[in-house]
Amino acid sequence: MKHGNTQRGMDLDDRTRVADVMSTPLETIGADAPLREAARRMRDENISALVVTTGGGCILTQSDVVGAVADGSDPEATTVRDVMTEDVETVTPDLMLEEVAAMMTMYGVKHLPVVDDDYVGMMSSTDIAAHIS
Amino acid sequence: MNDVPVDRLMSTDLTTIERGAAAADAAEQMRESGGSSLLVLDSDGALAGLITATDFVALVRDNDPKDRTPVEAFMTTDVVTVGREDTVAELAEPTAHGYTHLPVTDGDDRPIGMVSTTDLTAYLSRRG
Repeated sequence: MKHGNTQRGMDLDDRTRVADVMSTPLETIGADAPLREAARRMRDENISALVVTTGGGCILTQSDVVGAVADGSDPEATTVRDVMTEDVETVTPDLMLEEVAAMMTMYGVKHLPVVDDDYVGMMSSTDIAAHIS
Repeated sequence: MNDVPVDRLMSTDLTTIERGAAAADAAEQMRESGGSSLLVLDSDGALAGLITATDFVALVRDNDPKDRTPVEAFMTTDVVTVGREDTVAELAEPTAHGYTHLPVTDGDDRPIGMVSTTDLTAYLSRRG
């Protein structure tokens, strides 16, 4: 397939990027917060994943909460740190939606924090689905 | 891609559970399946409700997961279903209203598949 520079530029401009559909503002929670508090935030504010303020690429997702229920964890005694997902992949605001979709499928995850020097938002599979359907 | 029928992208590997099952058992089943939803069935196999990861968040917010809360006490009964011939375009309205999992049912209200935001994401990545 052959593209002139002008054509390629137009194609890029037409396509949706992370910055257009990501969830903002960034929603965070402390690693020492009880799981109950995290669940309250997620439920009341309709958030499917929180960035944990450890500075180490950790997030708390709905799947982590499911795991805590499966283990019979006490939501008051269990902290975010006990159940969070560590070392998550991240994306940048200029990435194409198709590329993010491919990353989520490849890694089997529903959430990718958006990083532009610092954490700026969250991309979820729900954000992608809402855009394409 | 909006005229693509639902049965091209739905998951058919369904995870089901009975309405009287305990919350912790349902959570374990969801974790093992690697998915984020369970179909709750009546004894005759008809769809009674849906459990999503969001429902477990609500459980942790309000109850002690260690108690024997049965699935039917916290499942979603406000379920939007679609038919296999429906198109991706027809998923737009329920998706916009926050429905992340749409069971695909046959004429007898029996589940034959599920379309989730994960399925839509996978479809977009294949198309891309």
